Amino acid sequence: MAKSIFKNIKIRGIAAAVPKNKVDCIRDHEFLPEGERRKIVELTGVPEYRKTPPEICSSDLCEVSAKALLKGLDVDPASIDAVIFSTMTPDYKAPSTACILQHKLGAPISSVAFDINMGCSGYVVGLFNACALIQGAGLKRVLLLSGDTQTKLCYEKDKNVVFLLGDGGTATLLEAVESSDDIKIELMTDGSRFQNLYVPAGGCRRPSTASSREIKIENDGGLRSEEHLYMNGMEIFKFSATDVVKSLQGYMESEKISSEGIDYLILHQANKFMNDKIAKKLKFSPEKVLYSINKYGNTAAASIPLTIVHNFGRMDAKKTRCLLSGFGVGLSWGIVDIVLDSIYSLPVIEI
Amino acid sequence: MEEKIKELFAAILQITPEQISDATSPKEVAEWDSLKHIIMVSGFEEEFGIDVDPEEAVEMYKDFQTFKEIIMRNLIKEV
Repeated sequence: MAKSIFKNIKIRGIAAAVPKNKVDCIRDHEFLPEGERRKIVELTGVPEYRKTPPEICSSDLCEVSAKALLKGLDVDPASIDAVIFSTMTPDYKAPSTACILQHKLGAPISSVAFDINMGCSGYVVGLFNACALIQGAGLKRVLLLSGDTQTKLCYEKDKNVVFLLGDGGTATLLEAVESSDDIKIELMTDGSRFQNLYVPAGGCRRPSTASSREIKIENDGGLRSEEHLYMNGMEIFKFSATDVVKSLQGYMESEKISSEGIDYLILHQANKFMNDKIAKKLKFSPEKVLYSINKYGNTAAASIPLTIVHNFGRMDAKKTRCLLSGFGVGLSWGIVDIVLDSIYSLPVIEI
Repeated sequence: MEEKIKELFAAILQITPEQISDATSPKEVAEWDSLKHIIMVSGFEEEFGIDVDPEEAVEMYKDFQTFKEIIMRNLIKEV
């Protein structure tokens, strides 16, 4: 995609919520030998993550975040023009969960509300849509909710995913302003590789059957049903190591910037080994690379805004140029070049 | 050095060095899955003080010969 440049749009604030329930990867995943558990944790950088109980959905985490954010900013929900919910874990197959959130949050009936069915790239795709609504459609105030409860998609003994994936929900408020730094966004999609990261059955293409719900050892050694999340780890590693790195390198070349011109690199929290490799390839020093994976794991659509909230409590409020990159299901990926200027954030909320 | 690489490779996969030849690939060794592969790359980096490029890490998931050659190439770079 060509680079889109959005003007006179500001992120006013970001909030994030996670469930209280902690999963300790070494203590709780006893289905693997302890030595192997320790090696995996060392590699992924995920000693623990949060897991929702059955009654809490992604939308609940986003709702709590949104209410805290609007209250903290003293923004009347009735002034919201659009509610966007980026997630791959909606409440229902229909309707868009964003419609339900419009009502729960008190956004007006005159607002537009829709879901974006995306996971790890959900935040960057969501920012693109929010900016497009403001710049293109003339909306003044857009609430972007971005979150996932991936633990609901994973079989609890699938070693390929349960050491990584956690739950989280976030809210970001974007507004039209008289002047601001440009927000530059590039999005990419390659659907030819969608089967490397997907839930094979349970949708309209392959409806749920007794067979698709059966838990069995799959060819990759993972234990799950066809209605659980499948990840081809090596192909996803390859995707991240090549496509994502090349896109980021291409973007930085096109902008004629090096890592020195960027304050922070905020990547989707895929795994620590991968992100360290990407950052090193782009010549970012470790202190410029923000993480939340050590506390919350890979939280899909929540991971970038959750990382911002997790770190911004200890960052200056001055203008901070950040390069964001989300990548995952689709396969889809994107880059957002944004200056965060005095954004409102509060500590991560636990529910 | 080749023997040392083979020994460490076997130790991480928890198989014997005799089970490994240059042609050994992930398809033949159930233990060599993607997660173990990344653990191995990380283990070799730590053991030998090298830094494997992410694209090389992907290439190494072909067979033992490729894995070994890339480790040796990186060892030469470090000297």
